[in-house]
Amino acid sequence: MEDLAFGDLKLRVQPSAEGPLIVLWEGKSVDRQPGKTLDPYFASLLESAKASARGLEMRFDRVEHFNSSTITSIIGLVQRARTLGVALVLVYDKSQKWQRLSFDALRVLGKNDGLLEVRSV
Amino acid sequence: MTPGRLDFAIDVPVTSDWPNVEHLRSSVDRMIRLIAGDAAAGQTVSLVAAELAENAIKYGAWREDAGTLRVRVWGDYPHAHVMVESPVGTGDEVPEGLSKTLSFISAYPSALEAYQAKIAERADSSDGAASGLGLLRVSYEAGCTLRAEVEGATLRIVADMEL
Repeated sequence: MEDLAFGDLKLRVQPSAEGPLIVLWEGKSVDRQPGKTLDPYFASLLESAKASARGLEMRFDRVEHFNSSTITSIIGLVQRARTLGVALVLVYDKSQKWQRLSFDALRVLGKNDGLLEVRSV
Repeated sequence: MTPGRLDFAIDVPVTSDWPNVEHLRSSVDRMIRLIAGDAAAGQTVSLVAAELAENAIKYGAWREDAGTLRVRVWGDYPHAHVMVESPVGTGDEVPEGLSKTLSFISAYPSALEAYQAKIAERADSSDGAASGLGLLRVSYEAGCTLRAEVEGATLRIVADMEL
């Protein structure tokens, strides 16, 4: 999978052959319609993870800010991962209040099916 | 300003070009950090300013491609307020979508519960229609109360919060 550079946002895919596919979020996601770019990229990530029987780990701990439209895309990512049966981990920085609040709220998407983990560093 | 007091105010016109939302957010963030010496306070107030400005640009009754919204951020730390003004049609009331979102928030015991209900609603929805997620987010993450009013052809939305 290739990295994504989109406005002030960079998503970097960590090279690894085992374990979950790890994607590092850096910068800011402030586009008016981020889903136009993020949604198809997420779909590709999930297809790649599924094809190699791996999970997907999104690491947000270095991201500076994202707008609520980005949260809509993240909600879509969670749903798409569940549909495909891909285990998804969202990692955030608990020392940053805004990240703690944002990701604590997203725990509502958990279904006790083991397919979504929201974890702090 | 009297030494020791932490009252502050900025009141600026902002051209309704989308990139200005981020310019506004980063400027408010720096200003509040300067006053409060607290990164979290800066992030909180700037998040509110940015989300309200985004809504104003997206849903304002702009007569041309671009116009000017008014943004005021003021308070006496740790009290803070954000006000964003944008155009509505003359004689209009508070837009229905905005009224519904404010009612949605007040229908729940807490802002977290309202926000999580909206997240769950979005997860079950297949369309990309406007959801009011931004207002619910700031209500929860900033712990602010939101109110809206129309005066003439101007919609004014105000967020009040304690940092």
